[in-house]
Amino acid sequence: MAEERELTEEDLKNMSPEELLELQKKNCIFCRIISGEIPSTEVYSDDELLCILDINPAAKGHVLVIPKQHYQILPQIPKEAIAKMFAAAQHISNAQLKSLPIEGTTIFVANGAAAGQRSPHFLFHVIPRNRGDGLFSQEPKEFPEQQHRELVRGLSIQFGKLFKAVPSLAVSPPHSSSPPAVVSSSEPKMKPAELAESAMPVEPSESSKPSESPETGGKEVEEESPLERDIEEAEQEEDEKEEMEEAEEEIKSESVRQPQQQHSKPQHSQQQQPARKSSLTRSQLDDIANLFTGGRG
Amino acid sequence: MTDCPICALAEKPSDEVVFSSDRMIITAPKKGLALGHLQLFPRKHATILEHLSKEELFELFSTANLLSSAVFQLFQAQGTNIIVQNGIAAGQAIAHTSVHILPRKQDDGLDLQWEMKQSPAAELEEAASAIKSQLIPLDMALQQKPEPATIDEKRPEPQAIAHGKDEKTGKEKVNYMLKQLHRVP
Repeated sequence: MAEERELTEEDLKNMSPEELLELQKKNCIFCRIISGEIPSTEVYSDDELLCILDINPAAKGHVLVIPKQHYQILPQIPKEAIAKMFAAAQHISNAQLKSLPIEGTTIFVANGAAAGQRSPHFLFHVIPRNRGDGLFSQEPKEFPEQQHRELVRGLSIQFGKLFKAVPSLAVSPPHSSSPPAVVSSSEPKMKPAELAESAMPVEPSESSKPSESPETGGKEVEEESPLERDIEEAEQEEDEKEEMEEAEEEIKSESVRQPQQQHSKPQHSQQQQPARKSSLTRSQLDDIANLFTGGRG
Repeated sequence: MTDCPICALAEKPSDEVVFSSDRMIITAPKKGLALGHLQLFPRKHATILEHLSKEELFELFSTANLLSSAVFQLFQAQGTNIIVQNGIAAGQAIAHTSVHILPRKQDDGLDLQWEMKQSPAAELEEAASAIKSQLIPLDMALQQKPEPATIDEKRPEPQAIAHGKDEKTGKEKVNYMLKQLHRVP
């Protein structure tokens, strides 16, 4: 990518996503910190991640956990890196608690500028906390009862569909007070999500590791959990609304019967292993990135 | 665990629960920061994050990551937050560790931002040394759970290792550069 002249807006528009990413890396402060070009105060570093002190901390000992690869948001990050980053966060939080005069820690992740993400390079914060430090003091507000009820009902349906196909996550009824007859089409303010695609459950053997063995999620994380495969599958099929609606009908009638039956028997159709990629669509990722990057570094 | 309202959910159901399984419990708190604010609990009891095994930890954050994508779509959000309040001082209200997932929009009126303090290089070094002194090498650490700190413990005086203060003045120049860069939006 030759850069003899200054890049114009036009140029930027015409660049491929890959070229844009390259450009961003060049201008990315954190990539430069990671490469050592810009110094930093490090607490931990390995192949995948770098943990440094924030030079404008919320509190003394405020650490940033930064993946060495340039990602923009958490959903883009592969599981191995996620496992490591949060394991590091746990250890750092622990170390902070043991070494600093504090009584708690906050782990803060922001995906997207609207969420407070201030850097185009994904990172998250492990912040030492004390009572009355004034951090994260936004007061939650009480939702109107009706709205909350509808919300819970709608979400139960969505998540029920989502997790339905995974036998190892045996679903127990959320709560006994769920209204038996689901009121027709008053699906609350939410869009029925593309997530709702679980008409094609995963073969049970793939998800056969029940609660006792924690190996499923952990160690070197070779495979995605069926849950994640399921979700990725669902998200890839945004255009298949009809199937989704059908599934909804099915679920509605099911939830009227017995929620216990939902830990469904092994099903017919076999899932193919979907390509491992972000669980958001390309354009959604771009939207998030664009909202944030503004001047591209 | 009978005092724990989360562990007791089987006997005392709550109308905040939107999903539950033998691994996870997801609630939509009645008091939240935004519609779609979810709280995710591991089924297995742990008071604070440090008490989770690394597998449980991974599962928790993987699920939180997925849920963040879910609420992003369900609530047509423009961003998401994933937050752990670890300890009462951090705002943890229930003595069962959890992760908050929050859909965000530009105009949602929420401000989770903090005041960014100036920190002289010496202070940064001091904090780094202190933390590192309690941080065993991660590859070793990944083989085991951290020896968990208990948050209500009386904190011993931090052993600030204040070596080489003179070297630090040399660093100030460099950190100033960093500060400049950080002002770039």
